[in-house]
Amino acid sequence: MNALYEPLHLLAALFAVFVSLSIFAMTWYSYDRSKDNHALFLGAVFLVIGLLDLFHILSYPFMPDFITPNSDEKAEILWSTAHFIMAPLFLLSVFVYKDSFKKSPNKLVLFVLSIALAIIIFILVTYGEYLPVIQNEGTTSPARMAELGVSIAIILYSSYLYKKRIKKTGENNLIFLIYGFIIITLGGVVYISYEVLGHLIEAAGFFCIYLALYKSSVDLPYDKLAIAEEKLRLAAEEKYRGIFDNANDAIITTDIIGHVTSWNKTAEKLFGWTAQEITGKRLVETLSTPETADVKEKMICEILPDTTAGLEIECMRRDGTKIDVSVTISPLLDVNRDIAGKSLIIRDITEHKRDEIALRKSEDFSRTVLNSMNDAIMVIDVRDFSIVGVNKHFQKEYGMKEEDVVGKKCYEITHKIPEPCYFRDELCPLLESVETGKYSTVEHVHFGKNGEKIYVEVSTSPIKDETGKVVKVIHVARDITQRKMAEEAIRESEEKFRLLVEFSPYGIIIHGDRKITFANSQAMKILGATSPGELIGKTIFDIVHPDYHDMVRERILIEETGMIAPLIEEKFLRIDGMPVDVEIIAIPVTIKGKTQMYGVFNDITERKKSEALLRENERLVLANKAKSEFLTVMSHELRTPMNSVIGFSQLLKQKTFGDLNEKQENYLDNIISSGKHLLELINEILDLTKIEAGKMEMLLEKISVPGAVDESLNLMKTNAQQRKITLNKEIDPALDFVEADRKKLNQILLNLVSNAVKFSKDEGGTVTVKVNRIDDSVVFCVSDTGIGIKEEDMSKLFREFQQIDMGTSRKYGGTGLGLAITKRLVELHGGNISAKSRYGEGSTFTFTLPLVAKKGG
Amino acid sequence: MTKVLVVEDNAMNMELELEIIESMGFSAHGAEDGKKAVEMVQKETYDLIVMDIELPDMDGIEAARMIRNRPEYKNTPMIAVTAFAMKGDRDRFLASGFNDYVEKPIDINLFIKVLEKYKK
Repeated sequence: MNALYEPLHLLAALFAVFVSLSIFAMTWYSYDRSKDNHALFLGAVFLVIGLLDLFHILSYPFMPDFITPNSDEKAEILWSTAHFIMAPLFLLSVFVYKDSFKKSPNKLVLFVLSIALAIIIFILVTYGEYLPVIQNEGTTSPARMAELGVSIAIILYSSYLYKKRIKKTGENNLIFLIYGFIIITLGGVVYISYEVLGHLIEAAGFFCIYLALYKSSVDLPYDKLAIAEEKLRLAAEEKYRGIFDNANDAIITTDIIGHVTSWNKTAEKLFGWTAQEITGKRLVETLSTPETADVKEKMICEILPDTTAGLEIECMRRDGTKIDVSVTISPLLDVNRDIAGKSLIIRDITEHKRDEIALRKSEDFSRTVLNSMNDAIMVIDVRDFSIVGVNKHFQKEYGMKEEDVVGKKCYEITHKIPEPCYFRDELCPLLESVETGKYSTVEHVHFGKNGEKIYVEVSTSPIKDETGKVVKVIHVARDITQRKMAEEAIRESEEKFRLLVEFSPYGIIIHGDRKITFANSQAMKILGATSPGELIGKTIFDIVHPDYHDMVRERILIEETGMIAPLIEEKFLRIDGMPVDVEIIAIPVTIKGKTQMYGVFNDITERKKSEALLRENERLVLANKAKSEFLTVMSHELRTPMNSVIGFSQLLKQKTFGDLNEKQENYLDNIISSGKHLLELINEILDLTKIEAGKMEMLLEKISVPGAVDESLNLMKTNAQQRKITLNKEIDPALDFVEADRKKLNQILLNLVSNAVKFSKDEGGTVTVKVNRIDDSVVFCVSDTGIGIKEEDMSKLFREFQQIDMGTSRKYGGTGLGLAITKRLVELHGGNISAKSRYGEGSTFTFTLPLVAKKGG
Repeated sequence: MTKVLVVEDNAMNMELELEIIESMGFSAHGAEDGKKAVEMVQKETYDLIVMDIELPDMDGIEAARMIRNRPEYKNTPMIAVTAFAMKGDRDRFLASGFNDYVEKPIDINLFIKVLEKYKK
């Protein structure tokens, strides 16, 4: 061996190892993308083979010892073992497809296993005795030959199988795999004689395999990606081309200095230039009218990154006509975010512009109209109640400039409240209009310039969009404060007069054409009606007493001449038909040529009654006075002749003028007694007269009750004893004094006791005086066991000149005035008297005096 | 002897009173009205005057006043004998200058008792 052989051998061997490991590396790292299990498997195979080849190189005798002492044999065995193992692995790889494993195998495990396999083989080969096929018998030994034969057979069979597989799956690149294995096998054969050549051939075989796997692992996936990308690109371009060309706006791009780089179909239509014609030309020069060139140049050239500019401008078309366009300019940026050009989106706004002018004109007109109106007008956006605009009058009335109110909420301005009206109980015409889509009107109170209240009549009209939805409302507020004030003043005045009429103590009725149209409550009360309805509609003659109809007719005639019918007394008829006296004055009131009569009247029934009473009283007083005077005169005139009668009789009885016989004397007695009775009568009449004329004076003092009783009993004692009548007294010991007129009390008691004695029966009896105190009264009872009083006569007691029957007077004497006087005397003290009796058994007279006399009683 | 002037317009009463007074041993003249009485007291001096009140022309009160005005009658007792017998009448007459009062119809015994008081 020459000196060149060893380095050459080493180089060739290393090259083979390099290619082998390259296969591994390629398959290994492309796996993540290719997911080719077949390639990965072969990569692992070539990792094992590469390692074994590396061990083979390291085992060369001229290399330092690799673990065990190096030798040609060791190197050779490792090499042939690698080739021997390669054949079955190749066969195995036929059955591994790209997608053989559902789950991607763990590459690290596979890597470790491959390295482990290589190391195990190395160990086995190096320590030799376990592999019968591996024997150090030289490269041409029969065993080696057999090995080679088996390897070739397997490789050929594998190639055959691959051939079939390629046919079936179309993996054309695998053909190189077959070539590679065959070349490697050929290399193995050549190696026997020419080691270096063998290595080179082997390296060529490895390269073939590399190519085959490069194809499947790298080339194919990239091709696919490229195809997919191309497809996507085409699709996208198609799409954007469509959008670009069919856009409603002209879309133009330019380079940085303004040369057109693209021009869509709309731009062609808009400006009359085709894309072909204009591409490469300066946009500004082509489209500008002379007067706008500068502006456009500026806009188009000076745009900065990240900015978009918009402008409305006039452009020139190819045929020289002008159009108004809106232009939106954006920068086109390159990868460095430097401006590479511009994109322009251009819209024809000629039509729009025309509309706008028309609109502005119409708006000007509307504004002029609105401003000339004397109502405060707002336009309100119904979404948030914000004010869109107001007219001049509004600004004046509410004291605010339009710019100060626009955008504010309507309720803040008009109602001075922080939230919308629908939180309040007020009717909002605005909401009404929104809801119904119709005109609405209502009266409200707003706050004006200095916060003062303005009464307004608000009318709202909806403004609808094209779908019929109400979007805005025109809010017209008419100041009706003056009218409202006037109304209020009238209402107030009306209320005042209504109250005056309603609560008037006079009845008031109004009638026109004789029909009653109004009646106040006093009128109802006087006429006995419970509701005005009972009177309204009736004629005036329904409520006037028939006796007065003629008079009322005359009065109405007077009133119809416009004069007041004076106050007179009349009779009305109540609802229930009862007459009622009234005093009435009637006033004609003419409103709008129609005369109505206002009758003001007063119920004078009571007054009439009291007038009558007063008259009667006067008459009675006069009569009483006359009676009193008459009786006084009578008394005097009676006494004068009585003086002669009694005086002469007494004179005769004194027998101054001679003796008298018995009969004469008796008759004189009769004359004297009759005269005295007559005198008594006269005195009592005078007493009664005085009481009735109110001339009786009361001298009130404290009188001892037992004393008064004793006095009356003592006066009657003789008389009673003569007639065998017992006099008793029972006086409440607690009672000592009573306030009374001494003489009168004595007169009362004496009267009753003497009556009791007088009317006692002839065979005697008892007269009892009982005095008790009940509450604040003193009760005197005078009872007898006398003849009593018949029931039918009880009512005659206490009346003047009433003795119970004519016989009594003759039998018992007396004037018949005693009880009448007694009753009056008791009543003068504020007391009362009564009698109880049983005919034939006796009577009890009871009178009561107040313990303390009532003044003026 | 006590001289009495009786003034009385009623003839019968005049007679009665004169009878009673004379029966007492008094001397008595009658005057039928006030004027006459006033005249009479000027002609003669009376020790006692019995006067009715209700009289024609001049009533008893007026006559008494006029008589009383005369110095010689300043203390002459005057008795009112009258049918005015209502309450207060007595006081009224006593206040008018009468020394005593007897109501009509007269009780002879009472009348005599009163006259006795002024006997001279």
